[in-house]
Amino acid sequence: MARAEIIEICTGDDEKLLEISKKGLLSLTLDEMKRIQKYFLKIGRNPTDLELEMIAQTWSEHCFHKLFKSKIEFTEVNGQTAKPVTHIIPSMFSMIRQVTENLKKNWCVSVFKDNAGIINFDDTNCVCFKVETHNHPSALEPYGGAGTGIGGVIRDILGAGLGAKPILNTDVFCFGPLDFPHENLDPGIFHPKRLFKGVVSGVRDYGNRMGIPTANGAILFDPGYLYNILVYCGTVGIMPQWAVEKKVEPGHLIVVIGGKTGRDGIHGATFSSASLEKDIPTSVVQIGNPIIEKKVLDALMIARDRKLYSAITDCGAGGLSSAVGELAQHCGAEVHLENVPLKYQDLKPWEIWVSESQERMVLAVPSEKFDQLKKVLEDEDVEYACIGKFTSTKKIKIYHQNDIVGELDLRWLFQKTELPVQKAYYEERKMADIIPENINVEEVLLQLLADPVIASKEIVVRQYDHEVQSHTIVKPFSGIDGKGPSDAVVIAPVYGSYRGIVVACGINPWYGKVDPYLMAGCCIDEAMRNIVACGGDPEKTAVLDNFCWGKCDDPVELGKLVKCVQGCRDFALAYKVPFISGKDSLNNFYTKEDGSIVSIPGTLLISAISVIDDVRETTSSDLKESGNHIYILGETRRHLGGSRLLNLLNFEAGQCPVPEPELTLKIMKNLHRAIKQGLVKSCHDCSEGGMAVAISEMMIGSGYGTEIYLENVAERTDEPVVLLFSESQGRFIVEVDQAHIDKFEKIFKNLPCRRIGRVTPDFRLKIFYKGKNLLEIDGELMKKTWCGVLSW
Amino acid sequence: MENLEKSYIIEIGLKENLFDAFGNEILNSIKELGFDNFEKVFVYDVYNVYGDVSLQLVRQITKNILLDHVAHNAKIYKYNNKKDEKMPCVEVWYKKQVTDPVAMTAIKAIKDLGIKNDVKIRCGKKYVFSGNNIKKDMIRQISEKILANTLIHDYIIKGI
Amino acid sequence: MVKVLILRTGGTNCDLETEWACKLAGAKPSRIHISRITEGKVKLLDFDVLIIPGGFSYGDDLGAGKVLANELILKAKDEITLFREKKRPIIGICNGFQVLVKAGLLPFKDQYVASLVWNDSGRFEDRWVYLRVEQSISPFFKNLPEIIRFPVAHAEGKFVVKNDRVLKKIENNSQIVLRYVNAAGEIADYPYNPNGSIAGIAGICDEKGLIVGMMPHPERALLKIHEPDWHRNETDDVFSFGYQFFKNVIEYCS
Repeated sequence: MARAEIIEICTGDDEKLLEISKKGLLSLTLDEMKRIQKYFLKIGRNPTDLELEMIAQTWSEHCFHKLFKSKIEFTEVNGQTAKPVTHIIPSMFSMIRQVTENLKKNWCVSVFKDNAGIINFDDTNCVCFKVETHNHPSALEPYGGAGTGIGGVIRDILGAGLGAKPILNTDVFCFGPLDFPHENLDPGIFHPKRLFKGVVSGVRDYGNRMGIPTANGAILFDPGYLYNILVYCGTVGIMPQWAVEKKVEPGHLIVVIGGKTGRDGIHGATFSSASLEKDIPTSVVQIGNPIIEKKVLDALMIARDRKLYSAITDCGAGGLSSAVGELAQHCGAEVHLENVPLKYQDLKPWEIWVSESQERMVLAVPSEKFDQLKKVLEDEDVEYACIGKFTSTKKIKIYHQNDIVGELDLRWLFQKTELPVQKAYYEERKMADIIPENINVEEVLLQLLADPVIASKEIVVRQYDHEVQSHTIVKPFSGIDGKGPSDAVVIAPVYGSYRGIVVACGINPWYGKVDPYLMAGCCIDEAMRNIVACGGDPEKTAVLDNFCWGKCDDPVELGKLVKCVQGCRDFALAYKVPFISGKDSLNNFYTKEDGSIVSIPGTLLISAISVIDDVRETTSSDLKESGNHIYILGETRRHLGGSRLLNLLNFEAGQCPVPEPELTLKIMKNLHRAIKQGLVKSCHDCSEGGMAVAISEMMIGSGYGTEIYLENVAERTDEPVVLLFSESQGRFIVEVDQAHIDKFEKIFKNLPCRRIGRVTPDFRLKIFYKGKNLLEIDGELMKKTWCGVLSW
Repeated sequence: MENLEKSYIIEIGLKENLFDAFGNEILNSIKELGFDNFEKVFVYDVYNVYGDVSLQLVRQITKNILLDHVAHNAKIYKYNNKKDEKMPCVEVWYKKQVTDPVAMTAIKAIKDLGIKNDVKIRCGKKYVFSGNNIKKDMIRQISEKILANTLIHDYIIKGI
Repeated sequence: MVKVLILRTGGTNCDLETEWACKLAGAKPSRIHISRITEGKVKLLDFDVLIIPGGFSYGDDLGAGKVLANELILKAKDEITLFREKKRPIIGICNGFQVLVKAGLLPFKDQYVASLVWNDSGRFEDRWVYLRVEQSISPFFKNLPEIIRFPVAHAEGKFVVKNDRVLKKIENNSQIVLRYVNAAGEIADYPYNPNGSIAGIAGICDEKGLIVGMMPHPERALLKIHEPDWHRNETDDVFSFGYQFFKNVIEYCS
């Protein structure tokens, strides 16, 4: 039988220590190896392979988020100072946390400590939300990687508090261009089309089988994601308020349930933070088994409500080592690895301990409840094993068939240590405020509707079961023929109650290429716009941050990340939205055969969730009736930097949109009031492609046309191209019927609210500018163009 | 593959009168790769049954579990790596280390039938191609770019 | 009170909303794992209605519904036979329809002459469809207008038959309960017929009209606000067509 190996480190010099880390794929730095050496010298023995693996896993970037906790020496050059200014930032994580602490929203129940952020829902329930990324595995095996990605974030929700019932999945993907020529592709990577189909299929097959609606997301395409795709998966859950707190006590049994353990995903925690390289072992990717996870879900909901366990967590990165370690952190544990159910018998103890096999959860079970728990698990056909118990020793002691294969002091293992100071550098990018001349607006609008970033994602969305559980009240597509895109999804998660949640997201890496600080503001603005456009409450909205960044040991890449995090802090405070959860995925870069490095464009996803009293007080984006009035809310400015228009024209210039939180928040609060009062017939936010695209999309879902008088859009008239395609933030297009215009206008008194046109019976878009016919396009052509871009 | 001499292959394909959505989709992907000489792709589910099995048992498993009598045709044969195929084709199998959920379900279904033998199953796909002037290298490219991921799959080209 | 058994197993995932639908319709539903029935702990005959809800029983790994269908006919055959002889309704929705067909309960007892196979699109699709309520022998489709809407959400919903004679027989017996149509009520192509089903067949019943299977989901169309374009239609009505369907089933039993 396989046993633990002793690794000689007590006598090693620096070189030897580094070699041990490298050979074992441990990703431990020299400083960390020295700390380990010191610890074992003190206790007078060498570590086992299992101990080293557990330390490496616990301290890994993936589990410990070292970079986000590190001090940063940040040097900045900007227009105002002209000279570089350097200051020390305590940590990026503390910047994000600061927002939530300052805002003191009493409906935030548990933030940044559990598997997911938890907020109040109604008198008896909470909702929780978590978004994760699964980028590297999905690039290597898109179907399995994306499937286990969604499977993993669902387990986060099952392990939040004492377990929540998943009610919604979200997904956001970034790929290279689908029409990228096969012959130009680097031989080491898959074609974007294959990745796209594989990832969508993976999320579809896992999410659908779990019986969770996948009903919100986004899909982006940019050459910057050719080498490293991004796969964000999120899950929202609902749980009783009494189930928010976990409690582990000495004497509780450690019970692992669900899937069997194999050699799957070993070194996933350390691998996920390393760059994509050749010669990857098969074990890093897996094919998920959603039916096992569904059975775990069914059993857990019964066991939770019967209070048969007192704490729970998921087996994610780092496997049992991470799950048991986390639960035992403040008490101690004794584990018998021979009791872990295995897929095959030849696993070494350390492999069992750090394996990342899917569909497993770890419970802390009071011994007197174990028999009842067993019964539930057996009834639901869920595999389980008691693998040890929690102790009060502050130590973790791991046995394999009576041999001690590991014993570590948990206080030492989880001790906060001084992390090395990181260097970051940022220089503001100056863009000329010019726009291309002689633009044919008709042609350009059709080209924008055919831009894969803007075009309909229906072919993907319909593959997701977006209404299983019968909670989905505003679906991803609405309007006639289900062709009109919704800004957000609305879920009424309690049968018989109209109380609901609104969920949406904001993402735009193109602004980040110009200015990562403003990108953060725009993403928050967009996520909130989507929430409010649908009927969500801007004052009861919480957000989640997910950063995906390139090579972060490069001070310039890190500098952009620091700016982005600063933007998150400043704008979230200004919009008064708390962060409740977040995650970072760093080192999304690729080393080409010639040694050159390609980083992804720094990408921030903001996911937003809002609680509303009544799901019937919502609206959809499709125009409702000919003759109704069309308004634009918010200021249209000269914001074309990073816009889809300039991306389309390959023209690098212009000012990236600058959010105006104070004004926007006022507009949003009032718009929310107007929707609640039933004054709004339809509403859509202006985002990629600006006002012209927003109005087009509202038409496509309705079969009605519009007449728009462009000079009414802004106070100071600008060039038509700017008015049509500017991506200024905080703007909404709103349809109001004749009977309600007075009331509506009164609500927006002293705010930018301008009547710009009407809904017309014929399905045509007509835009006039200063008495001249500027643009006229047939609605059917627009619809065909917008719907016909993505193919399977 | 384990236990070659006692190992069987069950091949399940759609009846000719039914539209093969997957074959069609793969053909489109092949055309996107630039191979216009392919005319049709036939897709089969293949099951490699081994361990404690007899031909009779394999027939029973096929008839009661794997075969939809209205929609499918089935073929059973002994596995032979060099088996002559009339048409160019490729088989794609999970590598041994990869856990295959479908195989786990198949084992459950076999137990439901009351079969106590220690039957083992691996699941795969077989793609048969028709067209003009098909070359082995084309199938290799199609396999690597569309049908298989060598990180988790083995593929075997036959009939050419 | 009418007692409804909602059968579930690993991979069932529409059991909770089906339970709610039954409650709304005035019945007393219980969600029961198939193992409780095969162990003999729960007796099927203690219930008035059996509903097999949607989902992916056992992952649909060997063809949709196949493994659960086998389990039912291998381990609970006598109970099912008695249940049907006592003229108690058996309803299969989506995966449940697939189970009933593959278990030889639809369209004719113990004859395997129809099946549900992969959609012509080759993909799982979730979309709302127009359905024509056919003049059938099933008592569960009364008080409904001729054209109704339910959503479909499946990958293997294309109804096929062994040969034309089978189709003729189902038609002549008035065993077709729902057909996919366009807004005008005519048989039409994709996407109106979402999967390529022969003759637009979306749901059928057995020769007595009491075993019903359909791919569309009535339990997802209980309320007006479940409809995908409810913001376009101002109405004071609370309930949608799915509610009426469940009410019909429950009223038949009481």
